[in-house]
Amino acid sequence: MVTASDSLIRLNLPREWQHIAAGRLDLRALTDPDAAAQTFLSSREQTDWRTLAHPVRRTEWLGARVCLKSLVIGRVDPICNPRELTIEKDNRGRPWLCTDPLRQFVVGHCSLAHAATAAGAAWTSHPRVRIGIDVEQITPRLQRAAGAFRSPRDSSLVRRPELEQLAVWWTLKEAASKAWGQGLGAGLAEIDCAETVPGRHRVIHVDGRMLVGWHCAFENFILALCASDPVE
Amino acid sequence: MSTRKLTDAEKTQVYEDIRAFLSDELDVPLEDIKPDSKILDDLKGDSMIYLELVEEFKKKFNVNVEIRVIGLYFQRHPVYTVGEVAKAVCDIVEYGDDLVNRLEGGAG
Repeated sequence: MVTASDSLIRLNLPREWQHIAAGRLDLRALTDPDAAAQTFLSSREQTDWRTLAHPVRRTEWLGARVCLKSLVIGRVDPICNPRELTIEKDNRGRPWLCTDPLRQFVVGHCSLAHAATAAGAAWTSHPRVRIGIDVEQITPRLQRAAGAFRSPRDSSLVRRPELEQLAVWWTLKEAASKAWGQGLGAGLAEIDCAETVPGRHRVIHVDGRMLVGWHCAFENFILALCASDPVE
Repeated sequence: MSTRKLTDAEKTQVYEDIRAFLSDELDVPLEDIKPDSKILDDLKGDSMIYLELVEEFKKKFNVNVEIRVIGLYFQRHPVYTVGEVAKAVCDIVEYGDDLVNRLEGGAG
């Protein structure tokens, strides 16, 4: 079985995001999913995991949670066993890490993502910051869907191949919609991405809401993270 | 105001076209795609597949509905299965931008 410390890649985030931990995991490293499920999933999560019919979907679901819990373990006292963590959703469907089975101690807001062979996760220890993460493979699918998510005000500082740039905007907007808890209801084409420094973005909804965005590229993937200012 | 009214035959064709699209995009045998197949959990779809489907059928039926409106519809009428997606596509074609209002009995 692959251990988290072997396969988890922690992301180097901007200095002002010290309250955020984010990482990615190559799902091909989960060579023994049953053993990983036993180690990382709470009993309730194991039940949920077994209901997933598609084997690839099971690996993605598991991998995202292995990634998230590996980030948190050892950083939050008194939790030291990943089976003691569970993910709950708030009334907008945004995930929070809590202890299980009592679900009384809220560890923090979190976000999960997966695409093809990559899983990503992020967690914040700040009680009033909302985050969202997304990962996407760079493929021609992005061109087919572009009409539904591109905004005429999207801008970049770096000259990238078209598909890679579309992946940057797609993942930023998906991450933003997760941070806002709105999914497609956020209206992806109504979110503008303005690259302020290479790899860093201002992500603004037409209604005025704003997030700070960041992205990185690895292999044939783009991973993006968005975070709010502390909310009331 | 209704965008158009689909016949039963057209609605059946929408369902079959969605099955064919998902089979091709997700590399799943057609016979494995049933009305109660869950797109994310059973067929390994993702959020982009929903947008691709919507774009495909917007072009097919020459419908111009904002993605934000479709997103609000999905929030109020969660769509998990192939059958639910087919119904959603038919509603989008029939009601257009008035989708959310018409389905909630609001002024249209």
